Amino acid sequence: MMTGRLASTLSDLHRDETELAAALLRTAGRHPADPEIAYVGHDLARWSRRHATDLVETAHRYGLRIGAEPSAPDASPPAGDPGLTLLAELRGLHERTAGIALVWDIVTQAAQALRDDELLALARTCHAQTQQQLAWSKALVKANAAQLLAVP
Amino acid sequence: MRRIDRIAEPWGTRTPYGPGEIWPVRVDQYLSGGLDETEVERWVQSATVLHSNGDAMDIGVKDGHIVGVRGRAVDRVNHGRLDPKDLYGWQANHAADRLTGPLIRRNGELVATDWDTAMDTVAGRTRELLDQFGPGSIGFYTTGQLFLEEYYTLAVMARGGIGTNHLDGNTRLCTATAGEALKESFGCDGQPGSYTDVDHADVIALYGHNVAETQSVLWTRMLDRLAGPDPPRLLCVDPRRTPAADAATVHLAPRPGTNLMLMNALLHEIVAHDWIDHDYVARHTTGFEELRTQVAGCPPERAAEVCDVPADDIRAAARLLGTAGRLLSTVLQGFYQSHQATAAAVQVNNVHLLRGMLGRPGRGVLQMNGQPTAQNTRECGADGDLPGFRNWANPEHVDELARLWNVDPARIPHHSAPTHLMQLLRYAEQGSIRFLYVTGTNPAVSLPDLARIRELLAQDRLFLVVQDIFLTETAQLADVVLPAATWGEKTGTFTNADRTVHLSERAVDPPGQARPDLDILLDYARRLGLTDRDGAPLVRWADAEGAFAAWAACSAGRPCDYSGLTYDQLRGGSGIQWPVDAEHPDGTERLYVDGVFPTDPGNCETYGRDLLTGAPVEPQAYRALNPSGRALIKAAEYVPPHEPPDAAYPFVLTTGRTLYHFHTRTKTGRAPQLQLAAPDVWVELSDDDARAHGWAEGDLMRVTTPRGRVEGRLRISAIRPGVVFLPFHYGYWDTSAGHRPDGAGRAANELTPTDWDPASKQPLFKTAAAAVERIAAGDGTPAPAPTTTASRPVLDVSAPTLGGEADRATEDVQDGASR
Repeated sequence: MMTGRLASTLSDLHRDETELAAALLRTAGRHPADPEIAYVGHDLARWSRRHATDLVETAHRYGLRIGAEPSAPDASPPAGDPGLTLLAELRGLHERTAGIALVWDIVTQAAQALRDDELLALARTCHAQTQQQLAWSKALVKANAAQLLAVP
Repeated sequence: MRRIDRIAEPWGTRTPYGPGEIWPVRVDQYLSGGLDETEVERWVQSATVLHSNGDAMDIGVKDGHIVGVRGRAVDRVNHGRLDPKDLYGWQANHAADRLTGPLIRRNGELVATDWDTAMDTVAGRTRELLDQFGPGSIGFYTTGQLFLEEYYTLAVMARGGIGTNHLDGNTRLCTATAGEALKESFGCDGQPGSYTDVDHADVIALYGHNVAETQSVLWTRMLDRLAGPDPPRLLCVDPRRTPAADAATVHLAPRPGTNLMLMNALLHEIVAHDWIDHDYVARHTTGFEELRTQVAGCPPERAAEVCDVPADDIRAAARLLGTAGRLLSTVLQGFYQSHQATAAAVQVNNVHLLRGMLGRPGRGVLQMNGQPTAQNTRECGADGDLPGFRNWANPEHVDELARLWNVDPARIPHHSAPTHLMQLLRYAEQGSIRFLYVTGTNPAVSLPDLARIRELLAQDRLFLVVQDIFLTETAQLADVVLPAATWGEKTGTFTNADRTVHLSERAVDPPGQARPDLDILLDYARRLGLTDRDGAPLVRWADAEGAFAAWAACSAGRPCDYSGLTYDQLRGGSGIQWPVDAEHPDGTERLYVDGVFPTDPGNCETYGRDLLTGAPVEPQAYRALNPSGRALIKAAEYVPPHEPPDAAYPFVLTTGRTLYHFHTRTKTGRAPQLQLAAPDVWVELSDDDARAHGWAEGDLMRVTTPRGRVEGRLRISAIRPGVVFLPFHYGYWDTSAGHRPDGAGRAANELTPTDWDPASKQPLFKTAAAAVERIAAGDGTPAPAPTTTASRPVLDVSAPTLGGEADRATEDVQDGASR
């Protein structure tokens, strides 16, 4: 039996993962000359889409339907200095991912309380992958910040 | 003594031997012009620089010229044998078009100048940029073909003097994944195994390693085992039908880009059959549970689909690995330059960790190198690490270097990993790096997406210095060209893929005003006025032996310890394997004999990276793994390659090597026997694909990717269907256009994409999507591809690869060994 609060949490999480996947693809598409953003961004977007799909299945198991509406894409490319824009984009991704990681923590706690092993396994896998996504955006910021800000 | 055509018979005569026996000596020799051995005035000790095997040789000198070479019988690596590239490649030293004086660009043209003008210009521009934009505007790109002394000097100057984070080697293209895989699994670079493991192994697994062509003397050793009693069984993973694939018990030819899935399936079988040394895993490793979970989803049936390899063949391969008593594994570019490079190479280490197969005879891993001195680029910190395998993220390691060099620790950049080559070029492309000093490498042919590279290097705002021995494609784009001395014309040491250190002595004078690379770097440091914190010169040595002593001090106490080694010790006898210290005065044959690994957080070279994203592991997270002394078993999920074939580009393009050439042919292309053996680019396809399209041997083909096109004659070989292979050696220096295509391209890298492995940052050359078309039917002339190696034709083309009668080498088989 799923509480209304958990259902609402999973529904929001589904939306967030879907939006993260879209944001990763947008950033990947804007930096085709930087493979660690372009290609890895695609690989990581695949994870977020899979998380979203798995959430739909989990909700279905509880007799719930979530995740009907797709998120509106952010069509406007950011303007301004390209170096600063890149750092701002990565910061945006990082913040978005950090929020999702915390929600997976929340789901992990709930799954333990509900003794729902299947949900717990999903939450642990997804949380670990979200941590990898988080480390990636941070690493890109740290690898590029010095050159972008300190060398004119 | 036997005369032999080593172009037609690249591996020479068999000297069979059995397990545990000593590999018989066979001394290979070639003297030019039918010269008799008695006419050689002196023999000067050296080792090969045309591949990574480290074959020891003597250089024959007469009248101040090199006249030939012979293998050194006493050396542990080759027992006298030489690769055809070494028998003939030395002739390039005396090529008429060697650079003999500095060049400088005036009004758009490179013109002759003197050393003072050239060096003042280079140092002046450096100083100007340092003052105006800081050290982040300066970049260095070196090689895997200079000597240890030169790399260490360069690393001290760049990291401790100029203070730039932008120093990398072309080892990034050849061996970065080897280094990264060793670091990820064992905490530190350093080859666990030894070539003598070939003498003992009962199973040899070759992963993406066309050993017969890349390290032909190592293959000779394997062939001699195969010809002897109780031969080892071979597993070969390669999309081409290489000589090793022919000799293999199991040959797997996976779809390019799926190595990790294949490895995960092999590990799945090893786990499922419990072919595991549980005691070793429990005592000496951490991370097994993560691996078990990861490979549980990779049964042979799934891998069979992803890799397009029969599931039964995967099972047979796993059984070979799982039931081996003495397993030797080697890995090279088929893994290192392919999708998910580090993740796949690490799984080879994992096979050995699960099976407890390290540190004893016949039980070793060789994460191979591509270039002769690549190991030194890595050790000396001329690539993505700090000198002495020190960890940039460990402040104590940075302090050690700062004390050694007497500089402020803040001078040594350590805010992030040293900038890797492809990122360095990106900064140059974006304009923040304004000065690039290239030593001994030819990026205008060897890097992916050449149209981009040429444009980037030719930018007006980039000051390009090229130090080389010929006017390479890259040198033609330079603002200043510095003529260097090469092998045989300077003294120094270098280390091969199994940690064997050799001394190479100066045999003859360099041509004209050419100078040893070390002398040029020392001159640059002097003109820049690089000093330590007390105002004394930062670089305190004036010659190679002084640089070696400084390096030995830097390496003391680190895993690559040279502190017990001297030039005198390297003279006369065999090469010596590091570490060489008070405890191991004669060197060390195998690492990790006791199952203790340099993974302690205070000792390790890296805290590691996420194998999929490349994100560095944070120090706290690494400590939480509590690996102290244990090897790390790291698992990774397979993800599909980034540029899959589609309707427009239906083939998978893979690039590679041939036995007769090295890199961009700057030397081997100037050795007539080698050039004749493989004179031009070819396009290699399978019989299935040729039949399906009605194409024939020798047809003129065009290969196209979104980045460019290349034309060449068709060779129909036993390569995997759906794959097109191009050798990457052929650039433009011997064409009328000089440094770029005039019409159709012939450099394979016109076609390759800008992509790299996130963990090792090694560019990928093995997985692009390509279109292939015939633009003209042939006239019956076969493709200019060797018939002796992986490129041999499926049909008899009646033009076998042969050497001339006058170019025969000799073999002297000793110890009573025979054919």
